Amino acid sequence: MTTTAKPITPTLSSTVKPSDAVLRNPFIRLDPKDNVVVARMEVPAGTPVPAEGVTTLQAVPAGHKMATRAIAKGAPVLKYNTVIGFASEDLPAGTWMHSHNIAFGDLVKDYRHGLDYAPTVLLSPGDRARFHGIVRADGRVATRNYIGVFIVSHSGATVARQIARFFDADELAAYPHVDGVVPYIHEQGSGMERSGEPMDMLRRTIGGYVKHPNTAGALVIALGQEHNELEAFLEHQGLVRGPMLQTLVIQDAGGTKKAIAAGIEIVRAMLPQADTARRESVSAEHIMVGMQCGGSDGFSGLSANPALGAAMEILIRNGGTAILSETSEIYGVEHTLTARARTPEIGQKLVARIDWWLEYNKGRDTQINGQVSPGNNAGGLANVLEKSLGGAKKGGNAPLMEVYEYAQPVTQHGLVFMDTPGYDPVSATGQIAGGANLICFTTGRGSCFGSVPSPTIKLASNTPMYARMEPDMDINCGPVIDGDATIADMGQRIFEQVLRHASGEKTKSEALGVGLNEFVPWPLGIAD
Amino acid sequence: MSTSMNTPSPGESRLAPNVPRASRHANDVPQQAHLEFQGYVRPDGRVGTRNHIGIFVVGNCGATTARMVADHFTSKRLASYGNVDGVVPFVHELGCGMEMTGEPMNLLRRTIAGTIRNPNIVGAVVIALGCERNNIRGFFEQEKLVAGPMLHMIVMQEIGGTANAVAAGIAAVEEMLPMADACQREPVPARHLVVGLQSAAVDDLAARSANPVLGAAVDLLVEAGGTAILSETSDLAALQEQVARRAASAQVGGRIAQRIHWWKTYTHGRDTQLTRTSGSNPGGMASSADNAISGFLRAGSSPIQAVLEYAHPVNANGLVLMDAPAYAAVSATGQVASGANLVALTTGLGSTFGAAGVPTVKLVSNSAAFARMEDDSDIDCGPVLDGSTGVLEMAQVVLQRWLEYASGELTKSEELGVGDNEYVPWPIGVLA
Repeated sequence: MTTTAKPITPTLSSTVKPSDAVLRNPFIRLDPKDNVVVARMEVPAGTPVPAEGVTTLQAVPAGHKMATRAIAKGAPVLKYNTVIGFASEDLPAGTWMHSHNIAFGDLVKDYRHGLDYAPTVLLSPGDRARFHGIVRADGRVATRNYIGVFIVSHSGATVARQIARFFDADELAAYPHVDGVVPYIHEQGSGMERSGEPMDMLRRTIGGYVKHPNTAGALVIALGQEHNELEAFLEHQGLVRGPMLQTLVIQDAGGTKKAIAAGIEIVRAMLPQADTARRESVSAEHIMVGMQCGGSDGFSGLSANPALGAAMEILIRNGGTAILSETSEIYGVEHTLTARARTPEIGQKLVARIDWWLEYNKGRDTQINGQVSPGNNAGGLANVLEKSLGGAKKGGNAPLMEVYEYAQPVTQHGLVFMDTPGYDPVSATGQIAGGANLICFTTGRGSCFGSVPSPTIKLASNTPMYARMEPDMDINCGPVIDGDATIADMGQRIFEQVLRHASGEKTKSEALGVGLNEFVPWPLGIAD
Repeated sequence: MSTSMNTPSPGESRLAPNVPRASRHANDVPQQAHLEFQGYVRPDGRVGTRNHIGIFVVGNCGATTARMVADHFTSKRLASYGNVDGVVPFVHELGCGMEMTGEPMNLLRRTIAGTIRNPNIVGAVVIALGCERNNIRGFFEQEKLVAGPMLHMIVMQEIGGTANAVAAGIAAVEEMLPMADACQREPVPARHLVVGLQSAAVDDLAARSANPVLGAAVDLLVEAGGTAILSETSDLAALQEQVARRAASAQVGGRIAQRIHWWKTYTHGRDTQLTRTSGSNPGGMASSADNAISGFLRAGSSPIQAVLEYAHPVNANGLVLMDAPAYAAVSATGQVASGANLVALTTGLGSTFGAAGVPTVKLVSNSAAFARMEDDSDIDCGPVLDGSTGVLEMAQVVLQRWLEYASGELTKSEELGVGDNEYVPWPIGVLA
């Protein structure tokens, strides 16, 4: 409830009628090999389910599971063709399956490092999908064309924001090929550890954005003596000043006001060069998607995540790249990725990151240490493994080609993993620093996230939320739940929309102007 | 319209019953008692130096919405509300992907709530996406905040996303503006000043000018019954014994030792100021040890009356110590949450800092830096270096200027619009 205004868009959940497809089969089959299916809606006991040849023995709540075959005591329960636990007693077909009869027990994870690796069969270059991108001098391809105003430390925040703010639509009217001048404000760079991984991580995050193909020009601002010292930063990142990479030191410029004026002139001088960028038809292999999920619900793992997974499998067959992240949220199902790793070493790298996370979060009240939340459990998720499984579905079933640390440059095509927290702005920032030129973000409860210079495409897991949050949502994956689309159909639709947004079509968050407060490098260290 | 002193304020319902009042020790203020400033007297007795409406977020997911709401209220749109100083965004990077319980969440909540209760904030809108770990209703309940005419709550998932939330936020502010505008300044004694002490980009000269000048001004303020908040514990840890000797009681001494021990453990094995035994800081800044000694001069000679943890409400007058990192943005954010209504910052090389919602007065150690950074600098302490002005004489100037700034004169950072990006609650936990 808000105290100030009423929702403008009504909630549809009370008015939408189940479609014919739902009435025909109230359950979703996630994989042909599964011995459970998931209810789209609450299904009463005694309901015949002809598609599965069974009748429900108990009522099955929405999002919960039903056994489609008899499962003997101790036999594995398979969802997404993955073991999510073991039957705690002999269970006949039609049984409602949940934490009361699925034992988690001492599941020993068999990493099978690289044993199930099967190389992706790529489409031949001539058959690949194409989009309109901006080819940069180094051969990388941009989906947007921004000038970025960066700060080595928080002390430059106001100067950077005011410089960027000066370049409104009127100021940029003469430069139609420039998407904007955007600030990258963060809270680090001063009062932090002077060396080591916290500083290295901050530097490679900012450096990754400066070098990003979507950044046509960059102005880097310093106060003058911050812990993230300007010259050391440039050297660490191999950045060399030039017409399209300039620096500005506030103390040398004579303070805030003069620095803003000087910064505006520097950016102004970059605009004609930035405006020479043109889009041309290029192969989809140049698309690098960072995958995110936030505000998940019981449906996320049934619709938006597997549909995005299907889209990413298409992208990967076209030679593109999909980055899976949020390490703390794949905990429990890492063995499904290690088995698909290109080499055993890549699988071991992933396990090493998981071990690091267990140590980092030791004794903390975080998800990696706990059970699924009461809300998730009520939504039908029996345990952490099942929840993580739904999240990992974003990556589809492609082989795992590489594992990266936070904000490292991503050079390997195919499905790769980047170690990041689950916290969306931090995670997406690491992926974009790594080179992602698009973000695909699944959400069940509704996210209002946006990012620059790489746009965010938001995928709703269910139709009522999509209707309520439509001005923020790009794609409705609800038809999968409603029974109006298969996951494969939905994946194809998502892939096509990805190509359009990569070609310049604005996403909802871009239209709203969201993304100028969402650059959040991982604050790994301590403040002092 | 009557002033807020005489009528129940619209903001009254949001205040916790036990908020400390600035009206303590009313009878034992000797020499500086005649000093006054023009302030906004709030229903709980505390006094604001500004009259802002604040736009807050429980987590980063509301950041863009909050900034869009605040940005809507340009000086042109506020022109008919002469007593409202501004609509200020208090945007930060925390609130989700963090620990659900424990000190990191408690610290974030008391920082946001403390800022909402700061006497400079007459009304507030709090924005949430809806599924943050820092759940907005949990936050209100834990901090005993009650929504009302001057404290609004907006949940983006419930209201239908960004655009609807921005519209609702603007409507909420518009509703509050006439009530905020009814507040008027009135003369109050200087003892209602609560000054947060800061430093940034100090040089060696600060130890001979800006820092002792600030210390002498703090002594004058304390003599007048006012309050000064010393922080930057991470630097003071190097001076454990000296700091402990200033404790007003054995209990306070014990608390100081406790916090310093915490800092030594916290920074153990990290490359920080406290663990650096040698080497210099970049750009001609003072070395670690000198920096600590110089920094402690800011505290003057008064006894330390109390030790607060970060963002806890100020509970005593005189000189108090609030635990915080030296990092000015984090430290000042904590002081404002504690109740500071003015921030005084010393610098040598020149700082561009300005706190969110509370004026920051910058004292520069030397005239050359003051001239170079004049647009950002408020008081030149350079004349103390060549002896043309004495420390005490300069301190009297500083106190006088504080009273003027507290009465509404704009500081340099306020003129420049600095503060809208300077709200940084201490990120003390891990991400998840």
